[in-house]
Amino acid sequence: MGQAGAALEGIYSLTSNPAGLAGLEDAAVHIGYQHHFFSTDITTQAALLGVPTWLGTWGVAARRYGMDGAYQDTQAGFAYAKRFGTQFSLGMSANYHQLYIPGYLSAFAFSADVGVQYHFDHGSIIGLQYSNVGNAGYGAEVSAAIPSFIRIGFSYPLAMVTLAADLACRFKNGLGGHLGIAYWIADVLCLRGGLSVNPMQQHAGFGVRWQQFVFDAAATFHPRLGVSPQIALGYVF
Amino acid sequence: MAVVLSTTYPAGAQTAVDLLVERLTETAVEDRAEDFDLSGLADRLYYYQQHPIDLNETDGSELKELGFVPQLFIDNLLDHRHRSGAFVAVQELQVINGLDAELLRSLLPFVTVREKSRLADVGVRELLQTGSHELMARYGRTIQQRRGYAITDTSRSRYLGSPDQLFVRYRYRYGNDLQVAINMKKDAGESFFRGAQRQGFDFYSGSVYLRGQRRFRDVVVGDYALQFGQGLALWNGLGFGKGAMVQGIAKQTTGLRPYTSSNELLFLRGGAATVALGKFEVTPFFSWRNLDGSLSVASDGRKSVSSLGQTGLHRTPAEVANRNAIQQWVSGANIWYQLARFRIGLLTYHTRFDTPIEPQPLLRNRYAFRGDALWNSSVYYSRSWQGVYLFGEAAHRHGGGFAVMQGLVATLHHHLSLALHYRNYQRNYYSFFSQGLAAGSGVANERGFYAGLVYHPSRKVEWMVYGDFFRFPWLRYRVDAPSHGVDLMSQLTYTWYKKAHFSIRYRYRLNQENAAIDDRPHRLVADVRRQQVRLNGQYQLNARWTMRNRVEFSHYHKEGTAAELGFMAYHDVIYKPLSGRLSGNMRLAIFGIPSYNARMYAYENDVLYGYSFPVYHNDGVRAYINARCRFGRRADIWLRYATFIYRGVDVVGGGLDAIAGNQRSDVKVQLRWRF
Repeated sequence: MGQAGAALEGIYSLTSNPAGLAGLEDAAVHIGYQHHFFSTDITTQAALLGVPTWLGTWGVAARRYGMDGAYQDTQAGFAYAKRFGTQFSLGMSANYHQLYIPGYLSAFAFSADVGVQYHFDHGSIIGLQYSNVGNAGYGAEVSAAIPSFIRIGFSYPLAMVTLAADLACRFKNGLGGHLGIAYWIADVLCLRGGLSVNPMQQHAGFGVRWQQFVFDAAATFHPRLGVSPQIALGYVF
Repeated sequence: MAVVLSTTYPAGAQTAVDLLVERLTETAVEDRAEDFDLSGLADRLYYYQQHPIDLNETDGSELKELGFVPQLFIDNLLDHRHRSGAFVAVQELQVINGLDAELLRSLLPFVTVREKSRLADVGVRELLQTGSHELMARYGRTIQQRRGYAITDTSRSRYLGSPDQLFVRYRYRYGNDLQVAINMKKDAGESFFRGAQRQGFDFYSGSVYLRGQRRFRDVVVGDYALQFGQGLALWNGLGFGKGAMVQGIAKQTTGLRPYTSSNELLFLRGGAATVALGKFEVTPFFSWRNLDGSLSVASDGRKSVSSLGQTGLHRTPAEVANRNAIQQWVSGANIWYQLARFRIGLLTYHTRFDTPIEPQPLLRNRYAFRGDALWNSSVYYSRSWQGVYLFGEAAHRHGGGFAVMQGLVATLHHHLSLALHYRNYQRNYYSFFSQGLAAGSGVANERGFYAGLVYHPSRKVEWMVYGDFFRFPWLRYRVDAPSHGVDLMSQLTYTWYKKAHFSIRYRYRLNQENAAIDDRPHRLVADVRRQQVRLNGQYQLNARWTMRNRVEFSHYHKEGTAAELGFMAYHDVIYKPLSGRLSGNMRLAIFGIPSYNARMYAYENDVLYGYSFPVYHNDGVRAYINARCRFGRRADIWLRYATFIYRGVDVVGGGLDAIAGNQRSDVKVQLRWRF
């Protein structure tokens, strides 16, 4: 969906706006793998778990980004989201970050994300997300940063189609925008596509839902760096 | 037998066609030459406006010729007729899937429901009496003298002819079945009945076209245009491509058509026919033309041409020397098969020259065509299914590379449509007649993906967005390295039916070209960013008066140089009474554009069939006034005066076109007689 997630709901809200986790109807677990720019050895592995309860929805997310034996950026987080009434949801997450470069450095940091979503009667959602509140980092002597940004998004359902758009205000790289579209065919197959600006990227993917299983595949196309494919496998309880 | 030969335009007809021509061609023109000729398209639109397409008779081909009707809708229309029987009224169109408010508005002036006529039942005398003849002559001239006319020294480059432009056209039509077209043109600076143009005009073009005669669907003798597949191998004439009409990325194969435009390049000359054999249609064609080219003779006496002429202008001794320097033969055939909503075509043709083409030995020309013969083949298809239209083409240059594309236009929801287009044109592919969707200059050396979306939340509002990402794997003109680019556009339009129309547009383009740094041993490429914001409005005050406004900003920034910001604003007044002898329009525009880099193009009303998209740059004022006067039902006269007044310049234009002073003004007079 072009990385436009601020106004979407579901398990993938653990990677964007935590308030969207409140829309998770059944407990779900996902594991994902992304290969960055195909010809490199840079990869991301991720695992997501979401459990709705009468108190609210709880989530756990773990993610590792880097290159084997050379660079590892690990993140583990705990999220909580709750729906208030029929229209308003609130979410937050606390994250632990660890950066490890063998023989060079090892550093850690904590960060927090918050998000809200407002649901209109006809199904569209407006979402606001603040990631890494307070711009926490690994310290002045480490050049790596934990991205801090505010993102406002809008999603709009149209029968089998969902349109989503985000505007991100980043503390380091200025404004960025995302536009995504998802199209469900017969409740089994979902086609997704999107466009990001700053940096310019195109996205395309699909998802298959079969009984309790979900399989998603997508790729991001960067005009200069090439293709970053990713896959995810999920189970909905 | 009933032949409808209306001799008056419906109210507001010219404005409706103008709007369509502008919408269809604006982006095509921005990427091409300034004097791109749109008269072929306008000609067809006016013709079908006067002789509307019969929804009960059409096989879809006339609707395709309009250029803006999606194939998916045409298929749905034919299906509907097949299932529900003949149309009773045009309003029945509204029940067909794929028709949005915009398409209905655009389509209504061109369609009707009526009885049938057949050419076979008609005698020669009746042909001459019932058919319509049209004779039109246009004279134009720049009032100020250009430098090229003042030079008398015969050893220097100069214009050999007069600054007068003259264009004469004749049309004979019998319904949709028979058409004779003749065009004659003399450009400014070309001689007339003298010198190289001893035979009178510099350019003559003519064709006889027969349609729908038993097995012969189309027959053209003379000048013709072929449009097959998605234009990767053979597409003469205009191609629309990217623009505010997202569905326009799917080209409509119109096959064989007579060539009636006054552009001197984009056509074939000889004979061609489309023969129907069951579900197959076969189109053999042959063409023999003289082309312009700069001949050079090597020390061993071998002749060659480094490039073919691209302008059709023969004003200076050098241009005259290049005139008709090289002969081109084209022969081939296309086979087309249609089964319900599936179509497939196979095309093969051979191009040969009497003199070999040898481009300059530069690295960027490494894969360019060289030699005297080229053989191209292509296979293409299209398939529509419910709300989805799929189309694709794979073309091959024998002994060279491939060009492939695959596209999709889908109605995801009643209010939402999606268009996708993937292209991969190898660097060693080449065709002399290709016109596919491309960000570069032709169908070669490019890979790209286009995605577009149109959303109609109501009949009044339309929002469109597209993104096109592309790469050029090999070097190009002024880009000494592989490069890439992006083209993004979004437009929001609000239409208040029959009264007003307002749109706001943003376009962002990123390209790369050689950096302006000379102190390095090798060249670097720099990013070039162009942004455009355009606000456009049109509103009808009453049945006679319409106003039109535009405010546009352009921003140009090349890495390593200063950014440039330009603006332009205009106001148009259009007077078009429902009846009455006189009509006309005028524009006043002001612009402040630092240089050619931030240039803008704006569509201008002109005399009938004389469309123009001039380029605006520097500081100044642009104004024009057009008037049309009708004399009964048979004769019309058009007058035009247009001027550019620049601020702070002593010379307008450059080279032989330079004019002393700060003004350039043009006049045109056009007469038409219909009988």
